[in-house]
Amino acid sequence: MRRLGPKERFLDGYAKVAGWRLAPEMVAYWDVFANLRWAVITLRQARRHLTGRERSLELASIGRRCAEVEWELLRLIRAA
Amino acid sequence: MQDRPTAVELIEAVRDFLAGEVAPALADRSLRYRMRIALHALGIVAREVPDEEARLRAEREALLTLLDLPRPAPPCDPRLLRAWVLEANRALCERIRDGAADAGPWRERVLAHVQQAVDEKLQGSNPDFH
Repeated sequence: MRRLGPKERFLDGYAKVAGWRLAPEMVAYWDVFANLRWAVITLRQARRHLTGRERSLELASIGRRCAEVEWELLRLIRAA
Repeated sequence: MQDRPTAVELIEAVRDFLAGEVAPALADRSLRYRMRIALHALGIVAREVPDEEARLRAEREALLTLLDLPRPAPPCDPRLLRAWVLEANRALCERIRDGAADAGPWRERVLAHVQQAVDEKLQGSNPDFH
């Protein structure tokens, strides 16, 4: 959501085009879900390297991006 | 005990060599990109190797308190420390999954503990994240 400008403006614009309004708690839920999904992806990519199935510096280093997603998840969960 | 340079000083020397002499000579865009990832990874190692045991001990202490575990004496064997913390983190995950941190004062303690752990991980993996 960060890059889409203020959340209210985005929700207003969405409602205008779609004809119905997104509930803020629904947005909060999917915000958490999307970050959790990305966290799982980082773990899976790191595992491809760690199991030796696909040795790759990029895959290995993505494993350490998980902490950034965890940080964002904590922020979202606390705000919810 | 090894002579100097220490392991970290060697890693820093390799990083300086790669960043200063090899990276500028790379013409291939994809190689340049992966060199940046490699330099970042060496930076992680240089930040995390010093004091790793002290950080694990601190996390162990925090987990003993949070999970209300009996404090065994003598302190954990350094070789078993990592495995102990991993196991205690699994136990914490189970309690969270069982709903123990859904509400109430323990929820706040868990959030504070996990925040501390995540901040510490970021200090190693990406100190400029915020």
